[in-house]
Amino acid sequence: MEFGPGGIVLRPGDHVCALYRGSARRDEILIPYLADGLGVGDRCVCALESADRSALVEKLSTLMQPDTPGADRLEVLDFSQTYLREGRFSADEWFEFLGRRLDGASRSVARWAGEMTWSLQSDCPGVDGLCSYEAMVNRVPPLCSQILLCLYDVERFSGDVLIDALRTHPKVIADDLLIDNPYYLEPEEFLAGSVVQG
Amino acid sequence: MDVGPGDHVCAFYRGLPERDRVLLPYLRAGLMAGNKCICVVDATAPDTVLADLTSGVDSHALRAQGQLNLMASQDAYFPGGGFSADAMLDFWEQNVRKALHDEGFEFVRAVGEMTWSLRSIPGVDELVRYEAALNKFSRRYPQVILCLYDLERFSGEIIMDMLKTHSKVLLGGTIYENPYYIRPEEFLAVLGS
Repeated sequence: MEFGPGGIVLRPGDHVCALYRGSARRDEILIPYLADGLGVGDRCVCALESADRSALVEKLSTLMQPDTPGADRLEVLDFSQTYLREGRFSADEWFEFLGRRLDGASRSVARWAGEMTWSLQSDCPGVDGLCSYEAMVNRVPPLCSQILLCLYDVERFSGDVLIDALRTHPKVIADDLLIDNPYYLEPEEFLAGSVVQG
Repeated sequence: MDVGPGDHVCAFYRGLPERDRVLLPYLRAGLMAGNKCICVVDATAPDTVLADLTSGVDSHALRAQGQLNLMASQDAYFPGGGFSADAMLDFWEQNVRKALHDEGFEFVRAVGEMTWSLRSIPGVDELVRYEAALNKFSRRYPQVILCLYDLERFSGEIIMDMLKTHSKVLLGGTIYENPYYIRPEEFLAVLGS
């Protein structure tokens, strides 16, 4: 799929959920997303289940002009460096981390890409807070100048989590299309509903 | 519930109490409007639905008169122990034609609870093709078809397929035009390739 002019155009403040089947399809979304970002001067940070930077850079090189500066603006981290620092997830600490990491000193846009399978590591405390985190992130002011892409492999998640992902992302990428997602609920409404359901 | 002729709607809910908050008003409204109602349930016995339906309608009498057809999943989706998409499409064809042409009803409300497909039944791998093909069937008659998917039971993969094969979705009490829907001609072509 294609990002940028002629393809999918994302804007600062976008919080996007990508739905796909399997890691090959993940790369068909993730690689062009990063290549587009690096190409226009954005900083790109990814949190991936397998943080193999050189493999990622190699895949990126097929899409980017050889003289494009950018690889130095790409950061590839694993879950223990991001969502699951200290072996647990805490939304508050996470927002602080994300704000620091993405805001930085530069004025450029930062693109985040996170593979959400960290939340399947049920031995880590706090991972069941995934959905309320996804709702609240829509209200975090420093992140409104960034682009967040959350990667959901539908082969790995339950139907329950998939629908919660649709409830918490204003935009969704599915089948190579960017969709204004009608199932999105404002965080207050989503969180009130999850309390009622208990 | 804002549904119209030809609609093939997927209802997503969590657990049995929420199923009943979708299923019972759907049937009750259909019965009060004089629609033929064909209901196939899996998580509870048909008689439980019958008992829960009594407020506002005389469900026992309507069943006896043939307006309400309540069935268990094994008698509809996998009679003889196996599921076949073609056989199931034929089941709906026969039943809907009978209601409209022989019994004189003007509109049919069908509903199927899909948890039966979580069992290892021969042919259950035809489920997605069946759901896609149902879109061609639903628009041929004055009817609504409602499919019930319990989010606590199904995988993300199946729920994604259901988003692609239902033109409307019922979620949290709201009916949505579903933008993830793919027309059956296109969906089946991809599935076949």
